[in-house]
Amino acid sequence: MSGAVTAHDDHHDHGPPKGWQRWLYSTNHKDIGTMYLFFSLFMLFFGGAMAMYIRAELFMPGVQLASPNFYNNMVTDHALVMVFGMVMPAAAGMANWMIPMMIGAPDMALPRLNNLSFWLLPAAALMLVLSIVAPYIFPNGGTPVNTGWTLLPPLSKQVGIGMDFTIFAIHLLGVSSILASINIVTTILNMRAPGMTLMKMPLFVWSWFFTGLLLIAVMPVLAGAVTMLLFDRHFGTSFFDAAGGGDPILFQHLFWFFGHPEVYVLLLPSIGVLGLVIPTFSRKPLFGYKSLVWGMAFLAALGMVVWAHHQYTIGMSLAATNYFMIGTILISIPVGLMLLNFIFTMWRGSMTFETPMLFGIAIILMFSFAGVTGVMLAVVPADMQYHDTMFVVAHFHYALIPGAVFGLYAGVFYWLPKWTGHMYDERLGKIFFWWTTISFNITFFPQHFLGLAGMPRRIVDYSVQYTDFNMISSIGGFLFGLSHLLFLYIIIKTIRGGEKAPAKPWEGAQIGTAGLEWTLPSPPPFHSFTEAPVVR
Amino acid sequence: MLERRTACLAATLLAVVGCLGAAVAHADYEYNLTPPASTITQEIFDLHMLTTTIATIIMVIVTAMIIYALYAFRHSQGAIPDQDFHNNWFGRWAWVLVPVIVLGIDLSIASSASSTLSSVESHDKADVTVKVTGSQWKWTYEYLDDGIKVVSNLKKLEPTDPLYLRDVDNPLVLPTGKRVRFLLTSSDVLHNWGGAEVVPKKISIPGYINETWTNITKEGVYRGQCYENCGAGHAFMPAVISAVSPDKFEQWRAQQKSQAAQAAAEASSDKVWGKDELVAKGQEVYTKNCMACHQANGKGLPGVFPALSGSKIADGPVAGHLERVIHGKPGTAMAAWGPQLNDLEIAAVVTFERNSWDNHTGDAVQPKDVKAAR
Amino acid sequence: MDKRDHEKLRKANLRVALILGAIALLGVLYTFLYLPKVMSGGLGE
Repeated sequence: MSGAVTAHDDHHDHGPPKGWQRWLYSTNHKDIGTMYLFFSLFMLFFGGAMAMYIRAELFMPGVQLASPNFYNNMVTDHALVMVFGMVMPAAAGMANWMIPMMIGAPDMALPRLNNLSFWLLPAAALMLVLSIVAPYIFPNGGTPVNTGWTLLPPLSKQVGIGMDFTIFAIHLLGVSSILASINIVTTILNMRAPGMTLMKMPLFVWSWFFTGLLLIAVMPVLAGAVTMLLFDRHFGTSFFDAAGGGDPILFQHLFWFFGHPEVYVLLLPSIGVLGLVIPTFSRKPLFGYKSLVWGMAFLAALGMVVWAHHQYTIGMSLAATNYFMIGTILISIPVGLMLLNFIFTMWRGSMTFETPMLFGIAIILMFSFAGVTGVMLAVVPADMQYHDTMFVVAHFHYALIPGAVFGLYAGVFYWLPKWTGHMYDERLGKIFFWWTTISFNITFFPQHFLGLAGMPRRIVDYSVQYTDFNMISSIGGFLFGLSHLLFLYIIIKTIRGGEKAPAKPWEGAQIGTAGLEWTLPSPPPFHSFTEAPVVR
Repeated sequence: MLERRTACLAATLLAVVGCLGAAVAHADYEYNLTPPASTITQEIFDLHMLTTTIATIIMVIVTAMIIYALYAFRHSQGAIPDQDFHNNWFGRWAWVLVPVIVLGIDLSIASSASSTLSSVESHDKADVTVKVTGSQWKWTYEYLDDGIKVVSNLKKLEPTDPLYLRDVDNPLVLPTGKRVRFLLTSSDVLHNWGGAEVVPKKISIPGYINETWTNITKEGVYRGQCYENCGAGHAFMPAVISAVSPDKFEQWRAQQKSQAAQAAAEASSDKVWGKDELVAKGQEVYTKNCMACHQANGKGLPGVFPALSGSKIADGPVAGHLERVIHGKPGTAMAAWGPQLNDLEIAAVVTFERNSWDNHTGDAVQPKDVKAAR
Repeated sequence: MDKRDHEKLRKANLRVALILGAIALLGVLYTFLYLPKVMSGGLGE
């Protein structure tokens, strides 16, 4: 590592440029982080609006609001927007903001690349919007993208021009997240302050290290797969067409080779946030730091080789099916270890229940639940009954909303004082927590019963026997959606003012961690560390 | 004060959940997997109960640990954090203990799952073999030993009917107490066939054949659906299995066989058909095969399914019309009907389309024209 | 930071980034060349 940083470079001296140039040309990790976070906040409402439409359509039997194709288009884009537009940018925004500050770096390793990886996102979002409106604005626009986010051929070959826009959107999103991951991994490897050894890094940094590696490994495979799909659609190849010697199942293998690690890409940053939040509010060091780091490494590695559990019904050989089943069940080992480590961190601690901690506890409980339904789904013969029913929908929303989204909420409340320099309104924060958590459970818990009773997913209309649970689920869904207006209000209120936040707003924030983020004032100066801090 | 207010809010919301729960309890509801009615689904059901029980026990333990921690280790109650907790013997060995315990649970689930999996994937000799073909948006069942073919379409019902989206015109008829083998394939996109009570799901892949089996133990009607997104009609292709005693099945089989023979004889005879006869027959074929997309009024769905009424093809030269019906339009939902319908059926449906709605060509296409066009 | 160190760090960063980028590129090639063969002959039935 290099020596002490002096204020020697001229361009480090002045503050940010004024006006739009500050944002468009930004190479500052905090400004780019802020843009990431606002972008994902916008996409949260965009994807959320689609979810509200879906729940409204499913409120009762019959097709009331729009055509089946539009419904499935919304199902597709709800997933794409939430995964690529909301969770990943939010996690990347937090990484941008916090990782350089935690490890004592002046900025990200490749600041201009950082600018590019953010500004690809709005372009990708525009492509996604185009894919939705294309069938209506282009003559012969064809069928909307009604495939679900898996884009499985041959159905995706029947789709009109919207599919091409979706494919281009995925290309842009893929390039953006690969570049962001390269940047983050490089930063973590090269930019640590003297004395900040790898095993001293805060858990959030470790979680992004593995997330970055996962993305670099699997994102290209998705890019390749959708490119093959594009070729099949327009250039007469037949990668996925049995009539030309191809195999439609190949796409499923390629997609889930990306898709399963993608789940951990969404989860790991939130696990990292938990690794900071739980010790802070338990006022004692993280339990089993080393086993958490190795557990995440194991989880990432195992996550790369169990993809076919999303496709148990495709008729694989018995040996392959057994392998994927056992591999999938084994995932419970690192996940169980992580969750128990968090419980043991609370054990014999001294807990207070600020909003981030409330989210943290709720995550442990609800993510455990997703874990046990995950084991149920991993068992192949039983999965042949659950496959593609609402049980799966309930399971992965329990995994992704508490596992990823609530983790991000915990992160937002945990770091809002650091980002804005103001304390958020604790009372409103708590109301928001109870509101989301309860309405989330009303929304998704009944879906387990629907799935067990045999209601398929991705259907626009259902038979009478499923009505009541769907109504409960829809009411819960509307409440859940509404709660996010409060979230928006809290954020705006905190940005605009409030009680001044000290450099370290949480009493227990630095117990057992070498992280340097709390040594800076709140909000931190435009250039974080003008002199390299030393960690002992 | 603050805590009391949040508690108040929480209580209100919980009360709402409670009311909803009570409303549900009135109706006759399934909270568990549908009860099994075949040997194989019984085995799977037992496995499901095993994993559900283990899952419940784990959740109870985790919840109890968290609740105890929340009760015992509160700052407001003066709890003193134990800064060395992670350095005692438990802290040093938890990373071994926890995985070993979890691994034990995992292996006990995996071993019983693996044996059930072997019986699901077994290929013993079957008494009846049915080929199940999914297409947009119906199921076709072919009894390979008898040459019987059943086309199963959604029965149109009002959304208030208890069988709305659950019933078809012709169900799959199967005997109880016999091993039935299913060969699954598709004519266009991916579909997924199964009915949780009697047969586990398998995917239908165009160009490939998948296999599954069942041995139904109870007579009755069992209902499933398509379980793989297959486009606009995905919600509208139920799979209904009617399980009857072996005697009744034999009767049904004989009846179907003679009907099939009659239809085949009719189709291959050299008879010249009148236009009205063809239109009447064609309407039946249309309702069964074409109406889901092109609609009863022949206007299709704008932007999604083309109209036949006044179209360049259905109101144009006969040769072009026959070509489209027999070979379909690759890359769209328009299937090639050549292999699926016989000459008479194609002749009839083409005649019907050319003389309905705004189409008044006056043609009467004969089976021999179809044969020539194939 | 002194100019020489700054340059050193810049080069080190570039090196790591290029290695990671190469891995990503290999991922695309792997998709096109290797996986189709394995999947259609190996795990599929």
